[in-house]
Amino acid sequence: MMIITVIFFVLLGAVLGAALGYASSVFKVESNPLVDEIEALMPGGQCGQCGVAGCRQAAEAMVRGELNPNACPLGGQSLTQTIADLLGVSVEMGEEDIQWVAKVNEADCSGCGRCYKACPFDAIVGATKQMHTVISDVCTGCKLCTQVCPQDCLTMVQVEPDTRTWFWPKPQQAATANAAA
Amino acid sequence: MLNLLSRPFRGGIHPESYKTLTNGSGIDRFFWPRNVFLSLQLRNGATLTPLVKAGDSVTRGQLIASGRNDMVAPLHAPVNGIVTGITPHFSSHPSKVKCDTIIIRANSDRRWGETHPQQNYLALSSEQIIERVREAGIVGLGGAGFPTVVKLQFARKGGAHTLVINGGECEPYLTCDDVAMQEYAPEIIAGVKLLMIASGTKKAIIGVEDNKPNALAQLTSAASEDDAIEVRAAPSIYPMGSERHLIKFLTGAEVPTGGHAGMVGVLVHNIATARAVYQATRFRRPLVSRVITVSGKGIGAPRNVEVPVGTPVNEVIEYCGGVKESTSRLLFGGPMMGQVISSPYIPIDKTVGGILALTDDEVKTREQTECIRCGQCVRACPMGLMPFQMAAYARLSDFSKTEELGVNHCLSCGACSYVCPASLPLVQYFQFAKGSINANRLKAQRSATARALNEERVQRLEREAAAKAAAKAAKAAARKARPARGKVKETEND
Repeated sequence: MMIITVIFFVLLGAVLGAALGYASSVFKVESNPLVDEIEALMPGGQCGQCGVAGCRQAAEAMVRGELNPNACPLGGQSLTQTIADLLGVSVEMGEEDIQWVAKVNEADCSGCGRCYKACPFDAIVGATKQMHTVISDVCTGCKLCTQVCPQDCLTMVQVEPDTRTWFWPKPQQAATANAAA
Repeated sequence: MLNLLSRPFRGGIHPESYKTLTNGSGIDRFFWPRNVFLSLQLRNGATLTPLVKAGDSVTRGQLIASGRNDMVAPLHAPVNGIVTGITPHFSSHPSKVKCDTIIIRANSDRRWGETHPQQNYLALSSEQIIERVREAGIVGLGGAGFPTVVKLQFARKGGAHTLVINGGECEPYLTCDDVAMQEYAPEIIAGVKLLMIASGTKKAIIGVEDNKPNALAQLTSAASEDDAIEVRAAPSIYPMGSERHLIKFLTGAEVPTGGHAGMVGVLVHNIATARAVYQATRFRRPLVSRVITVSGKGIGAPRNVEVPVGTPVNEVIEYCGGVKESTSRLLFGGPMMGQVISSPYIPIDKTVGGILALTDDEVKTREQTECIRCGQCVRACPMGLMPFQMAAYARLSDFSKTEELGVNHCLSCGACSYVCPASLPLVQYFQFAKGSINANRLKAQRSATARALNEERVQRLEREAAAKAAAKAAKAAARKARPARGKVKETEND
């Protein structure tokens, strides 16, 4: 009896799956290739920091012109510039391009593992009931982990420039140059 | 037109050289530091692993830190003494970022930790020389600090045919290469021979600017018995010491834009590097000290000093008579390409060629005005770029346009800023633009990593879910197959 049930459900699943697969190829909705292109550029963390549900929705909103190309804080200025070039719009570039990363206050970590599960980039390592930590080279600063931590021990810190990322600041403009511009 | 014909390359300037402050007095070899600070992070961000700990006593020439590969030259103790700690300290990088630094308190013993029996060093094979250069931690002493061993291996693989030895030293004030050529000419020639054996090059040309007649005479006489080594005087035009421009003048070959010297079969080394190779090969002495020029009108007693690597700036300046009150700026390197010293406790690393203390009348701050499109910067640019146009885009932070105009080919030589009648900080704009472009590239790499990780994670979660479902189904099936053994179910569930 039980075996028949199992077989029935497996078959049902297979049939429905095949039907769905067929439908998806027959009734395929042509999407804007620009949206696909922008979505492919985005980090894909679905963090929602842009104010839209996910990366795909954000790309659609950008193509529709409802969302500024600089809305994705994870991508930073390089992403903004690439998207603006794709869309053919000009954006105002801020001088500051700050990279944030999450940091675990390790003394308070209870090892619950929720941040590990929340991280879309696998940038958090640790085992259950063990201390967790953030791989700061990989963290995009999406803040999803800070929302789930029951100990409130995840904070966002600014990445200090090191010898690889530091560069000379923009020279001061003379007062006359400012007045003329 | 005549003016154009007599020039060895397009562009270039003739700044006041101020070399007479230090070029007649030889090398002062009596300086010895109290403490040395050896940074464990190189300028390009690569890190070294320390092999000593606080409290260890080290001997001069002892290996104290090693890198992961040949791109990171190992560090040796420049003095005899005791490691007092490994703590964050300023490095010579302009960012003022602190990085882990081995601090050694020096004692007054200047002997080398170990001595090796001498042998006929000119009979060594190419591999043996390369190995000794690697062990000695030699980097290019002209300023870029690229590991010599990597350059030699590239040249060997790429079949380089000519070795160019750079004795250009076109920066004003700096005379450390000049005096080294005067005092160590035989050692430099021996080093050149070793470099030729190691790299497999058949010919060597030593290019020296013609404002150093004594150095030229010494080198010519030292090289006279070897037909493969040629010493040539080059006209004194800034930036003659640029690798690309020296190659163009000496061999006539033009290094392709964005390319490197190896593409035209040339290997370039600085004369100080040649001497270091000689020391490393013949005496197995690692690179632990270098000759630097301490000059400028703000220095009490300007001179060339041999300093152990890692000596902080303040100890060297103190030894050279301190700075005068009129000093307004301290620089590492020459006035054209040098960088401001932000703290007197910054140590000298292997790539620093000079310390300058410039007084108010040498700095000559002029007020910055608008660009008048005179085009003098275009004429001065040795790379054939349009500095005024690039600066305009850099000012607007439009880096794609700046890049299109070739800012990445800019040498940062500063010739454009030197001639600009409006005193625009042109080269500073290019430094900023190059840094921003690089930072954006790193950021793009970072988000590409994030995207790849995210995709892998999504796939992993799917796999895990599938595996879980499969395990559940298998378990259910197993339970079904053995309905009578319900009692052991609890242990199975575990």
